[in-house]
Amino acid sequence: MNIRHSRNTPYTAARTFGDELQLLPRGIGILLWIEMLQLWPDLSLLYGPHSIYDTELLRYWHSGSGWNWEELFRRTHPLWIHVTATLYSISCLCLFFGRWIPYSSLLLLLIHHGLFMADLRWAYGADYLAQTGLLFSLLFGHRPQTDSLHKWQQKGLYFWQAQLVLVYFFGGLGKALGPTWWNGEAIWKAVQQPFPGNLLDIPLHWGSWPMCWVIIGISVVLLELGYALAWLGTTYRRIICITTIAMHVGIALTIGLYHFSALMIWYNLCAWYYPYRTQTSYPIHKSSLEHAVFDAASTVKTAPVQYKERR
Amino acid sequence: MLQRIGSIGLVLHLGLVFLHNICNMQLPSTNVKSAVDPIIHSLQQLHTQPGLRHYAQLAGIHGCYGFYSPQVGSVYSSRIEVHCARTANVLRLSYPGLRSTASKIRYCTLLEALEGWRSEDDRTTAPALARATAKSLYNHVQRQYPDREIRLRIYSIRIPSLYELRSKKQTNKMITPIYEHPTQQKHPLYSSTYFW
Repeated sequence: MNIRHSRNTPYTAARTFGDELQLLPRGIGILLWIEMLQLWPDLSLLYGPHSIYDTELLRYWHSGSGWNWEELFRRTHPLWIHVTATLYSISCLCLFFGRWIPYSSLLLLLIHHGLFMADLRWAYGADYLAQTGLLFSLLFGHRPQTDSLHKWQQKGLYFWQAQLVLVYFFGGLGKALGPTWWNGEAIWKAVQQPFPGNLLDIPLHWGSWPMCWVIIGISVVLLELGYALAWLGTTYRRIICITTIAMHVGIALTIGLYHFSALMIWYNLCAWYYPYRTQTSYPIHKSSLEHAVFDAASTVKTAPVQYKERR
Repeated sequence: MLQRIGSIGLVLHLGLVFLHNICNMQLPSTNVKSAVDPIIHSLQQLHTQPGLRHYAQLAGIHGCYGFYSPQVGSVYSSRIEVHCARTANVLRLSYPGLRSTASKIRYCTLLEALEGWRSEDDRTTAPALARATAKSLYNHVQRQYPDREIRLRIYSIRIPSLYELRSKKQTNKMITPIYEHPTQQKHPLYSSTYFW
């Protein structure tokens, strides 16, 4: 265990397993902020009285839960859309810089829900996953000050891993139930109908190598179904983490879903990479010392067990 | 104590994820369906309880995680033509004024969410919400160009399957106009080479 003490630069004990979940809100914050910046020039076309969508059709897109912000936007000055987006952006930046995380997460959770969950017109898969990430940020994203909160964060990490396992498992199960992912047709069709902005276009003549698409399709199904294997140990965890990230890089480049891919890559890193990194000490200029002492004592006591877990 | 309650809450949260995915899953064969139908029905009743439904939406777990499953759906695109009678110029738009890629992706998912643009009973007519959406898009462009003639078309893009490519039955993307506003007319099929 690397615990250093110096007069000028005090160092706390190593981060404990679960502390890395504090990184989750930072990544979510920056990714949601980038997405909002991209949506910014078109906000008045997506929401509000000058939207491309007629008011009388809105009720068909209301999820039936919560407050639909669009109904408010339609009745007020168009400026309110940008005020809301500004609040959204400020919350994102607070998350990124680790400021007032519980409050920022809660505010962002509510605004995100109002813009994308209650109003389904402009929502897609990434928004649902971002909403879940915000909930976990609200529950586990804060800096733990007591031993009890450390334990809570450790549990949080396992729950976060379980959440991802369910996401991928049901993704894989859904694919496995149809024939098209087994014969390569689905993956072929997916890469051939990209969203705007994709970097890699797969030429049509690549379809003359069907075996490649069969292998890729089956690999995706097996990877998603077997995602829970990451719990079995270091080797499995590394393989699952690397292949899943590779899959998301592929989705970003060929289908053009950059926001979705970046979010999922970050989620995977927070679940399977950062918590298992080699422990290092870090400066505690702004953190309370009693926490460090407590942390050091608890870490030393259970070091052999924790070391084994982290491998 | 609080932690114990929190842990139980999170276990219930994961249970709800499980429930939503089981209930929204598309089972392949009718035999399997009929066998598990009573279970699915009772689970569906449970997951539509107002409290659970609201929580699921707040947590973002109300949807099914089956992205692109069990198969990849059709893709749709729009084209808006703005005709100027005075200069005989035609302005062609693929998106109704949207500029950023992020907005265009969301627009594409809106077109895909409209359940195929063709009703199950009558393959020549678009479902009411799809028609109303097309009208809404048309109205928006009309407001921007009040003195121009506008024509909105929705296209379905058909990707040749691996089998069709191998057997040379279809070697190009087939782009079919499936809806037009203000008037619906018969159109020839377009090939992707001169559509884009």
